[in-house]
Amino acid sequence: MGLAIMMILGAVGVRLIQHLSLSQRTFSQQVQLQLEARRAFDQTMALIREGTDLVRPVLGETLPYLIFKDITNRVTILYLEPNDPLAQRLKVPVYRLLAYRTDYSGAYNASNEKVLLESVRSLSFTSLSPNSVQVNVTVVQDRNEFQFLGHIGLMNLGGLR
Amino acid sequence: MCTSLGRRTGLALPLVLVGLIMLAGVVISVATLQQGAKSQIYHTTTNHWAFLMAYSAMAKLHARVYSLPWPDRPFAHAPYRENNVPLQGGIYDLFVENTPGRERQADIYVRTHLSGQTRLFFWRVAFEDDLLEISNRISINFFCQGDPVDFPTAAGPSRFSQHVDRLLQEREANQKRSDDLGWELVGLSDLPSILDKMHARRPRSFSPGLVNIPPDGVSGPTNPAASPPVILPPQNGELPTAGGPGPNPVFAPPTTGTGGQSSTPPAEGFPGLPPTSGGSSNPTSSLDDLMNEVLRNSRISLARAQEGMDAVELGNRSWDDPVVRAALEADAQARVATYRAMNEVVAAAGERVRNAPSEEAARSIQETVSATMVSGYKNLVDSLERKYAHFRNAADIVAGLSTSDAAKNVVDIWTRALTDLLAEINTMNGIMSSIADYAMTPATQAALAAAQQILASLPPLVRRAISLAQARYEELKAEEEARLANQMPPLTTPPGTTP
Repeated sequence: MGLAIMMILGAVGVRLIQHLSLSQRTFSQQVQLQLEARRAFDQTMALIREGTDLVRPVLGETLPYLIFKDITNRVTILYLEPNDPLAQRLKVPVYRLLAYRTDYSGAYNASNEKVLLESVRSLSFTSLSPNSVQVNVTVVQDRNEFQFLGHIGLMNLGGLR
Repeated sequence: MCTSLGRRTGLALPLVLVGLIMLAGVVISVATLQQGAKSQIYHTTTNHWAFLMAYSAMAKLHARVYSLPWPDRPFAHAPYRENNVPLQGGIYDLFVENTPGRERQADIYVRTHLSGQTRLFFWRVAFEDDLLEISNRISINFFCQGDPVDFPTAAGPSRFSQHVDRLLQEREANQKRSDDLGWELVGLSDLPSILDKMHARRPRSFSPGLVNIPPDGVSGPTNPAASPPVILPPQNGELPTAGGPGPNPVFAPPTTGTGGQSSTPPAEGFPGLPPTSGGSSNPTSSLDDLMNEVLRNSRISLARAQEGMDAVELGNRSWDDPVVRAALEADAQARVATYRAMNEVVAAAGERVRNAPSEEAARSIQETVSATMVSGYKNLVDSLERKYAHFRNAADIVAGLSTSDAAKNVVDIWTRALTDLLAEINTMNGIMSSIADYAMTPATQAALAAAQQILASLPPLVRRAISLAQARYEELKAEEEARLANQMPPLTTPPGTTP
């Protein structure tokens, strides 16, 4: 009898440990995803907020990329590139968000390119006024997706010629 | 019995305790992780909230500056400070001083403390005193988010303010280049062209067969830009030459004329409207407006042609697809609008040149007009070239035809395309011939020659495609006739059978 109770409790214990391990893994992934997405979104918002002028989208336009002049009037584009390894793993289209800031040298310079976010499912920028842009981004990891929606005003328009 | 029971109780209790401890561990772990996830989202919210706090502090300062003459501003003689001001669950510190070395400018530092995070926001604002315009006296020249350690403790130039000066100098140096590049990018509609123009790297495509994704590397909805509002010409009484209400000051109600055009007969005492023929003949339109119209419509034509052809070639859509049809119809409409605007430019420019006060002025007008016309012409040529470049694949297309009927259909369609192309070329060259004697800069001449060369290369391309299709048609026709002859029953009826 005692042996049976011990076996039952042992089995329950093993199941609990397995469940704990699975839960930790799942939540760790979620936290990692949210951490990465939050940092990227904050970074992107700060970048746009410091812009001096919005080039594309123009008023009323919605585009999957954004072109603006940054704090020192260097034209910057945020756009998506297919993230092949992640798409292969998740079996859905996944993109990485790139930022490229031109230096007017007339040539591509890898140091001006920056990966802001690795796991974007979809992205759109809408211009609702001449000095602001609405950002809608969906990030994905495994079976989880979540969406950010932000309306960002450009704060350096005062020097606009 | 009591001994045995006591032994069992002694065994079960520790096991139950161990189970409870493990269960509690699971619950605590899961709760902690969930709390961590929530805190990440909360962090993003606080980031926005901190900015709004700082912006509120700046707005309060703006209100004070507005309410006082500039010499009486709070920071006129010494920095203005506020410390530990509570706002919306956080606190902020404010430091404002006259921008070192600059007149009528102020540096505003706001340091926020919210949810254990400290952030610094900086604005450099300019004050422009204007008796007639009081709503826009303060403009933000510079904003950035900095390191909280840069919050100043004393007045005067600091490492941070000098850093801002350098950034402003860099911004000024890049102003014209960014304007030029931005203007070029506004006219482009596809991402690869934009990336090329910026010398950025084109995105790689997904591995073939990995997932069913459009190959342009773009994911997200798109929506076209809003059209500018249509401004109607002024009514009779609104014209500067109107003499005011006469004996009959009642405005005649608009009456609908033929073709749906609205016409307003001149009321007594008011001058009549200049004759109009459609929305583009706005009497207030100047030559500059018309030239802008040429550029705008020709760019639309090019953008729509690219959009339609991208949908066909990259999006694997058929020519009858609604998206493709809509894009190509928009291209055709923009092309017609460009022709109309070009003709009006030629007419308006002729009058302007005749009335020019000097030869130099006339030459300058001619150069401006010819440069605009050539730009519009080049856009239209590029639009045609984009559409007719499809004929370079004629050999592949023709090889894929399997019946003579399909081949005949292709021959007919391409023949009509050639007719349309020749008509377009005729129209375009006819318009451009009207400015043949205009003065042109060398750059304009080079652009015109290049565009004409591209245009001249298109008809041979189509003719070659038609000849290929015609040959394929004849080949298929012969094959089908031969096959039919082999399958035909003998002309004589075998004995014993009923025909």
